[in-house]
Amino acid sequence: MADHVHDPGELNPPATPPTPGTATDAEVRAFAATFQQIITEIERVLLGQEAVVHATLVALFAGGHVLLEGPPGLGKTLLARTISRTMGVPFRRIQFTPDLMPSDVTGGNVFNQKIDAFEFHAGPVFTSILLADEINRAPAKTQASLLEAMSDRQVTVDGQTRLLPRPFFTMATQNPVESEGTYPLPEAQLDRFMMKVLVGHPTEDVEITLLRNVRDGFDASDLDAMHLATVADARRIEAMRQVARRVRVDDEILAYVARIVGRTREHAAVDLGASPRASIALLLCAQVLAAAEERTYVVPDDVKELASPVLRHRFLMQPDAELEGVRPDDVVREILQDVPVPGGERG
Amino acid sequence: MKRLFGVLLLGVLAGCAGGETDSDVLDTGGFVLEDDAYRFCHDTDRPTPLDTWEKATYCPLLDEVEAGTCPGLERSCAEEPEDLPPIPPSGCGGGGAAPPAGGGGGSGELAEPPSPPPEPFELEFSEALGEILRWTVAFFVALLLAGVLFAAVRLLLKYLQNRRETPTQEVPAKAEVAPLDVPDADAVPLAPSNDLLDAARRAIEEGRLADAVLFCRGAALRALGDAGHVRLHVSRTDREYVRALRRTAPERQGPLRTVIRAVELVRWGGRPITADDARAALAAAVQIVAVLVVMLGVFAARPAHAQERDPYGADGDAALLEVFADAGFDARWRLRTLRSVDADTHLLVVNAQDTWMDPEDGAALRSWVEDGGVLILAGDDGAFPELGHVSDFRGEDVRVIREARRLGLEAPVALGGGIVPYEEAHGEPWVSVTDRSGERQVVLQRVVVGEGEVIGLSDARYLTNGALIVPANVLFLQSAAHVALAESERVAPEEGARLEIATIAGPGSGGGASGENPLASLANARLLPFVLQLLALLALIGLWRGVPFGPLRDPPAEGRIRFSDHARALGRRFARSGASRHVASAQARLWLRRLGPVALQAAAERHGYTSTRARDLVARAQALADDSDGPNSPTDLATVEELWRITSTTPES
Repeated sequence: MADHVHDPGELNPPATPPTPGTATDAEVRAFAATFQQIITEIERVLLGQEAVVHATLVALFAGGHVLLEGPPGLGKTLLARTISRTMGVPFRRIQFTPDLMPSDVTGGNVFNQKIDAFEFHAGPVFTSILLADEINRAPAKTQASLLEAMSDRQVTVDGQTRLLPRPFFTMATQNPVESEGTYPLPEAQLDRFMMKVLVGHPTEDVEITLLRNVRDGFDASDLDAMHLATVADARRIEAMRQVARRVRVDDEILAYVARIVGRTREHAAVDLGASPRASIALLLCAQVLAAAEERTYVVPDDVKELASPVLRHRFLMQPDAELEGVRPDDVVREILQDVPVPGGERG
Repeated sequence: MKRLFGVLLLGVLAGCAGGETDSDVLDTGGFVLEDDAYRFCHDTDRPTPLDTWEKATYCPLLDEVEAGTCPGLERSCAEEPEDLPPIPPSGCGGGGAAPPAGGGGGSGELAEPPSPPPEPFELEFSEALGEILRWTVAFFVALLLAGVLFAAVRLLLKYLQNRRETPTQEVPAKAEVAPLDVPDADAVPLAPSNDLLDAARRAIEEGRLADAVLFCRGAALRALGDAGHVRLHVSRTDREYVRALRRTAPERQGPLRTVIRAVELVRWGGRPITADDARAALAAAVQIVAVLVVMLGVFAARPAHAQERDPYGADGDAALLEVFADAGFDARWRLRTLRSVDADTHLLVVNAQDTWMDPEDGAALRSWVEDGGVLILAGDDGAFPELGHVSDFRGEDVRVIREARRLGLEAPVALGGGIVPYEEAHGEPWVSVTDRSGERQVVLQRVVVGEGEVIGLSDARYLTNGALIVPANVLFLQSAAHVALAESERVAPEEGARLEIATIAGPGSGGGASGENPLASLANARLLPFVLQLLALLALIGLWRGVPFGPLRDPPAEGRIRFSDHARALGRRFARSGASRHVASAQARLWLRRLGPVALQAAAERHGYTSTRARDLVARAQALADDSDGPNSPTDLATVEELWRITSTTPES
């Protein structure tokens, strides 16, 4: 069977071997500078979503994926497109609908009569930045088609495994308001997302600025007109990921992360607590955050700041607690207020 | 009957005055003297201090009783007078306050001690307990004061030491640090800030720079926590403390950030720290600690003005109640305003020297007397012009003339320091005295006002404990009350005439705790400064820690809408899973608990439901709430929808 006609796996840059030792001041300075440049470029287009942009980039450089939850019209797609522009990597978008099939995501083998053989047609998943729009509108089997791609960065079709390009970053969106005709993401799928970021409405001032920009000719569909600078490329992203991985994490911080995640398994309002994957995600994100702030080491604040977006979608709430209006963020907040910070005040 | 009783009583009292029943009279006085109200008289361990004026007034009375009758007062009189602010004497605008030269020049008839001395006073259990309590309180107050003084001196010394030493302290510079060697570094902030600063200085001198910065952190956080700028808690990070200062003490943010940066380098970065960095951290910590000496004294409350008179002292009036109760009256202190006096009170004793009477009080008293009340008014100068004016002190040697006896009253023993007579008396003089110049002075008179009468007593000192150690004075008051009441024909003593005493201890409108409004009552009781200080303290605490409010019964609209939307979505999801009853029941139970059936029905009616339909909805909700384990029904989801519709919009809309 002839395949690999255009194997997207060839786009992969060589994986940078991890450099031993702790990140240096110069490295984190460069990291922070690039990080900030990306944010600056994105904020030229996307207004009033600083926290979302920041969290998304943290997830990107931590090697994870992000689930954006918010009502339509808040710039989630624009964010994905803008990120891809500033990083100079391919971008694809999949609009999830109830009739979307797994092969519409991953691609499949199609019989080519000319060559009398099956050839693989890569799906939109073969890209660096993938926007899975309204992911909860597709049935579970279609959602599941992303599982392997997100966790292992590969796709298996008809028994053949194909690597996805590096970096591979999925941004999925879902609308929390509508419940008709939606398929809530299964827990296994949710756990693949490094962060769940809540996208809120902008403030009035931001909205006025947005309107002024539109009046003056801004068109979100024409990003070329914005002349966005390409701040990094795929290699640079990989290098930055390696720098982040070498940010120092004290053993006490590791214990702190483990305690926080462990508490989700004991909390009365939680039916099923977060998995060790959550601990890993929290650690990786904290490293990126530290590097973005020009630090060669993680402090407890990094963990606390990221605990909610990393953990809020990773545990199942008790039905009674849900009915009482207890939200996952409330649980995380309570846990953070309960777990002693390493090096904190006793008393 | 009443008149008959009055005549009989007059006869009895006249007989007493004639000396035939002197022993009965003195027995009464003796009985009264044993009462706890006369504790100034018995308590020899703590003699009541007397000022010059009080000594002049009361000490001569000791000549009227047998030696040892009143050992406490004897001891007080034997001591040097205290320089207390003199209390203005009755009816005196600053008249002679000179002590009598030769003791009391009272009635010679009572000079002979008529009764055996009372039994030696025994400390009762309650009094012993009170004594223990007093000593205990005094001990703890002394301990507290010593502690405060010690802490203040220590703080001051440390503050001075910090200012003197730290800025110029030469620390041996060491480029590299010793490894972190603080086994229990987390507990560092538990020590006092100044101790931690000392430890930091020592650590820098010894080259343990990592330890030093941790000590600096502890000192800074401890000081900020003690000052209330940050709330120390195990779950809070150092950077959160820095952020917290943005609101509470922004000027401390910079120094704390300096300290924390050094700590993070040491603790989380695993980096060595230079001596310069350690010194910078120390200087920042000192800057934080040194300026946070809270001057609590600023808020120290000035104690409310203490009552000037001890009710159980010689110039107090606690014995009055016993005196009148002993005479058969239903005696009690008047705790309400004078202007609210009514017919339930038959006889009112008012010490106008201590009880401030405004014109409204005077008008109310007059009205009450006109309706048949009997008023014994001591030291008044204006409320009843019929009595004339109370004069200044006159002379020292006075004697009681016989008219008093003929009127059926026991003649009083003159107090030291002269007499206070009426000037231009208009009433019927019952008791008059003759002063040194031979002039007759009226000290007690009676005027009839309407159906009642007023007994004017020019010298209010006769209403004090000190005057009442002499049995003749006790009888003087008792007989005056009896005679006046008998003549008023209002109520007979054996029927339980209600006598109310309005003095400094039995407050009137101005002299006691009662008032026309709560604020006035507090002011009258001299509690207003205390209450205001308490409120100010509560306000400060409220500003500091926030004001806790109880949870709202009905959640705020936004939360309610969000919750309702959530419950609806959840209900649909559960319904798909075949558990619609569970969610419908839980939702119904929650809304019933939060709003209650009445509010839920009202909410439904506000959304266009008729009363019948709204009641039906509430009934269905209650049925669902009670039957959560029942089988699923297609109507479950409909009820969920209905509840959602009602609760997802504000009731006002």
